Amino acid sequence: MLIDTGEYLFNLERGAELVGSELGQMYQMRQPHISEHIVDFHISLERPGLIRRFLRPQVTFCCDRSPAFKPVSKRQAFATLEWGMNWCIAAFDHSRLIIHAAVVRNDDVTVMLPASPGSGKSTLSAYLAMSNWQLFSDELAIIEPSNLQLSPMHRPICLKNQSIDLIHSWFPQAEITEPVLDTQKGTVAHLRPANWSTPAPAVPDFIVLPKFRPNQPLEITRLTKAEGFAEVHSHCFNYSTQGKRGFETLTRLINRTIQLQITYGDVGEVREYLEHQLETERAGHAP
Amino acid sequence: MRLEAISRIVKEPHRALEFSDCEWSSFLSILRESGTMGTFQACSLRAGCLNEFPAVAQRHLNSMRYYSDRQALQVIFECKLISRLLADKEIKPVFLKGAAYTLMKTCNSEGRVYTDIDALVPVAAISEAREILEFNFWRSKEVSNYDERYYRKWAHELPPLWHLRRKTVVDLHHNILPPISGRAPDIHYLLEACTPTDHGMALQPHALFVHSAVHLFMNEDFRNGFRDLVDLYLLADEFGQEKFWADVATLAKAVRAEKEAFYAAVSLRQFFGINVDELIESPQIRTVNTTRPRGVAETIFARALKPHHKNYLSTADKLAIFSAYIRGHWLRMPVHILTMHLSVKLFFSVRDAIFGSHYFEKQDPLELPGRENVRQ
Repeated sequence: MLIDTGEYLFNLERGAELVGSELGQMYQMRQPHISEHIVDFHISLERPGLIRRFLRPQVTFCCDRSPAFKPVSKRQAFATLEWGMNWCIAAFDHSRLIIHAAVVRNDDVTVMLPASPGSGKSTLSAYLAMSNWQLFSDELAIIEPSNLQLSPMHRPICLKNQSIDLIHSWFPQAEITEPVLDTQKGTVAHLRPANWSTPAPAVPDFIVLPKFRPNQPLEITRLTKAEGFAEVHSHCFNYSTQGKRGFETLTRLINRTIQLQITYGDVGEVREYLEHQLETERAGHAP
Repeated sequence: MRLEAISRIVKEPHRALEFSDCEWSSFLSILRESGTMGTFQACSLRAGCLNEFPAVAQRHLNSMRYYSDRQALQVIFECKLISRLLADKEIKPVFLKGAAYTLMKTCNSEGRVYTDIDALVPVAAISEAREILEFNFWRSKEVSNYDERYYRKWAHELPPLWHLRRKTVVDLHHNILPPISGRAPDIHYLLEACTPTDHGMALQPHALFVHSAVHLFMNEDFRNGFRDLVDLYLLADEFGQEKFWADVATLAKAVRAEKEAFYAAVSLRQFFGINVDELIESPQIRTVNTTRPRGVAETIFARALKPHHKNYLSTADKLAIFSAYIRGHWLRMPVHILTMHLSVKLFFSVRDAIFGSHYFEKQDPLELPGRENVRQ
């Protein structure tokens, strides 16, 4: 079963039957076919032999038939598949700088949203993705060192815990998988973005660090270049592997973009700000 | 894609120019699984055909080469540091295998990826060496009680030492084979066959070849067998002039590894089609060229040294790998110890097959909660 995410082509060699309905719902998979293109990663969901196949059944994500993670409950098969696909990219693509961040685009503005767990990044990027923003990725900003370009990936958004109910309530018609309990990240479900067109690769214009606080009025803080570098650096997956090139790429990225910290309690206010007032930052402050 | 073809393509990278996209998909998967993707990038770069490969293939190959180059920088840093720390107590570690290839800048160091830094010190100095490293924030990873006793009583090396902050791993050896095997050589032959590099002592090329052969053909675990065989091929290709083979033969005899050198030669001929007659017909190695070693090479190693990608292994291959596993243990242990060791291991395998392979794993204090167990 080929999963074409645009930037990477995965071949799910075994275990597709374990995730058939989610694959259909999220990727709208058609008939499997032999690829005419070179596959980037051969992945599989493998089931153990003997008792654990039937008693509290497990499944293991593998790349090249070799386990990448410890086994998880069979119920978590789709979640482990998605995380496994992220792992393949982060573990094996050393040609690019990979940052733990969402990337969204509207008209001609590209925004990167690096964030720690609990910052509300998933909910915010899901909200934007369902509100006519184009989603490049909800998890991995993959930056080409030579030209700082980000390429979009066709992947569903991972929602955790309270996000799931919030998105359900805001977008009742949204395609969301059945929530899975007791994963490493709590309760998890996946959301198909409303807009799955393929935008052209783009260079980020803004790096926005979101911080969610309940009932918090919108507060925007512009960071200095040094603060921006320190913040984004802490969210890089492969900065140390990239070595000197990582430093140079991040420096050029920080110089090219404006870094803002946004503290908020209402995603609607953030969207309003990003759509109508973000440009003033660029106009008002020449780099 | 047949596993037998992989070594020929490593030897002649131009053959990959004829691949269809489907063949490239299989080939890249096999290279990645066997840990030789970066090595193939280096081979194809030296052969001048890398830039003609499809862009997708180049990206993956170059990606692993980039990682390997970055790792080499780290290894040089670690070797320099370890040499300096141990020099305070006049201990001179000799680096082996991957770290040695990097320090010696051999062709097979290019694109190569490895997990540990192997260092050889005399047995009298090993406790002190361990103390110095532990004082400088290297720690043993938690191993099962059974494995801890195994290391202390029988092995030629200590359990791996992990640096608490950098997470780099050092394997301290006092020999190249376990004393319990009765085959552990006098290591002064190896300590003499070393050379200073810019960042620490390393084995000379002929000693690298002998040690690599011993390590490969006396091992029970052949998951990295193909990668190690490629090392031997590239060493032979880079250094294989007459004096080199004479030095290999002499050292092999001194450390009683004539059979392993013979296996290396036969396997290189089998997999890469290169001429190793100078080694096979040398006075030292000629004596072991008899029916049984030839039989072992043809039935076991001809299969066990292929890449172990599960999609492509036949039943005969898997049987050969299992035979190699038993043979490797047999060589390292007397029969009564082997029987007990295999029984214990069998018990653990059955237990894990029933409960799941991680059910009884000790929680590793070095692994942060929530971190996936990354394979590399």
